[in-house]
Amino acid sequence: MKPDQRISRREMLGATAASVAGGAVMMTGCSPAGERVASESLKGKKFAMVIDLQRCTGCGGCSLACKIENNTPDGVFWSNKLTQTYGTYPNVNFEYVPTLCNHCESAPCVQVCPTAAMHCADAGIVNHDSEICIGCKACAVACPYDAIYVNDEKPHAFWRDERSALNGMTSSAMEVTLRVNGRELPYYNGDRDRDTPGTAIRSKGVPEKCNFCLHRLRRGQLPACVEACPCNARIFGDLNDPNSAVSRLLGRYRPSRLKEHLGTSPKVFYIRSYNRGAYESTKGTV
Amino acid sequence: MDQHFWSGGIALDLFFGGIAVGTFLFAVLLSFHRVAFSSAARTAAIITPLSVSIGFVFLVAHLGHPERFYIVYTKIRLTSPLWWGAWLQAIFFLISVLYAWMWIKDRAPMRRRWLGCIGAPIALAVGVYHGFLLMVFKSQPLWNTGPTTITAICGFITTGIALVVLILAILPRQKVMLAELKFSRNIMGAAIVVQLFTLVLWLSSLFFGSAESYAAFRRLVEDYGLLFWGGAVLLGLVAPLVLGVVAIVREKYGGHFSYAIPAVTSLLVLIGGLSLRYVVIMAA
Repeated sequence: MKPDQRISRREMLGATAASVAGGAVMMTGCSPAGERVASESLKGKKFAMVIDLQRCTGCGGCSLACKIENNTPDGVFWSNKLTQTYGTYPNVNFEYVPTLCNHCESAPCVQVCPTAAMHCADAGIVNHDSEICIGCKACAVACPYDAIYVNDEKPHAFWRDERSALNGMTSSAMEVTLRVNGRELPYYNGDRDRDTPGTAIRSKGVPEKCNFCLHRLRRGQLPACVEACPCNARIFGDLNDPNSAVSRLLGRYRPSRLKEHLGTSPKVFYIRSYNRGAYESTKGTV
Repeated sequence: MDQHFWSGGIALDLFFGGIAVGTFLFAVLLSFHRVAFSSAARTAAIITPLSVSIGFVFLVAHLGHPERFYIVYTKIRLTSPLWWGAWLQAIFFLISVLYAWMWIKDRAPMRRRWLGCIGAPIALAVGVYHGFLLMVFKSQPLWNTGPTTITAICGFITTGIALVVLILAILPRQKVMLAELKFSRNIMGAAIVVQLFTLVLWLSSLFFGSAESYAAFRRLVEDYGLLFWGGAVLLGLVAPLVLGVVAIVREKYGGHFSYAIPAVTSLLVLIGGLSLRYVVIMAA
């Protein structure tokens, strides 16, 4: 195989996730992932996400797709979940609520940032500019949803490990990294780096968080988690458009949002909850 | 993944920054006293810029990118308490350096007094900022209560005066008038009483607040109970107060003045103040 025909591990993982998602779609009979975002300018739009909790099966495909797309370090999940088991046997319930940055309209992280590194980008997306971030971590402290992570160490330490499993016989992780020009595999995403330079791998000392895959939106694609969801439980679109899927769903169902009492006006809405309000007081388990 | 974003570095920034607020205000107060307590006022004025600098070093060391700190001064971010704090502390530092220099040179007392009057509201604003910095975080129920700011300011003033008392108590006796040490000690005692009241107010607001506030209260007094009750309350407030009252009563009934008691009580206040800053940051 010629070098340019090689399949990277990222591509392979992406293909695997797509296959799993596709298989699940066929099994559940759900339609393919929803509304496409127009590739023209994002100005004038207000993006939001609706999560249909009765469609969500808790497969974790969203979290996997997010990790592959965004190169998040170990233990960091921009696309995350809240889980709760309650009741007494045999009347036991288990709830699974997918979570991510809520891209609040009144975002506490944006308000407290002293350098505007955390800012409202196009279409109301809360984004982070690591180039002007001083690393004060106030945004992470201010976020009521624990959706902001801070890289106290340089991410992906594993891929800088020079030890090999069998000396002289197997490659060390560092050798593999050097063969691909220092890109931390398997998650390095060249597309992300091209569309939003310098964001494919975040540096030490700065926070990182979900940005609704802004690089994909600019290309007219959906966020990776939305694209990967096999049950179409994540619906993404423009709140300013009354005919968008999100606007229609929010009109049809009574939505809830996490910690609404804080007045942050999150733009991630939950519909058709089995037990709305069960997570109101949850903190620190995201 | 449970990350503790702010930790010991921020506690030390609050501690030293708070001391500076207390010492500056105390120096200004002393400059208006009818008796010239110049040793105490000079000591307080000299401590201020040093303490601000130490606090600033801890703050910058805590940043992920300290080399970019200048960016704060190139932006206008009116909604960010940290932005206000960066400017206020810079102005306060400059005023405190000038004020300390005027005390060291010991010239132009009227101009010095005027500078003190200009600096006092800035110092108070820095104190308010340090309390406000914590209070604005809706995500942190331990801090997000009304009395947080006033409790913080009282703590800053108490520790600032305590450091002055400690230095006066250990300085050579010919350099310090007994009256100014006694005066400073008494003011420290009054500050401790006020701080106890504000602490009760803060704890009450947590205890009787929302479910989240109550959970934060439990975390403070149970998970960090030893440091809070033992370090901050008992060692830092109750013990110095009891020791101070005993000493004053003894003096009243003919006992001689002991330099050791103000030294010990002020040291305890400082240990308690540091414990309180640390526990408030860590328990959030």
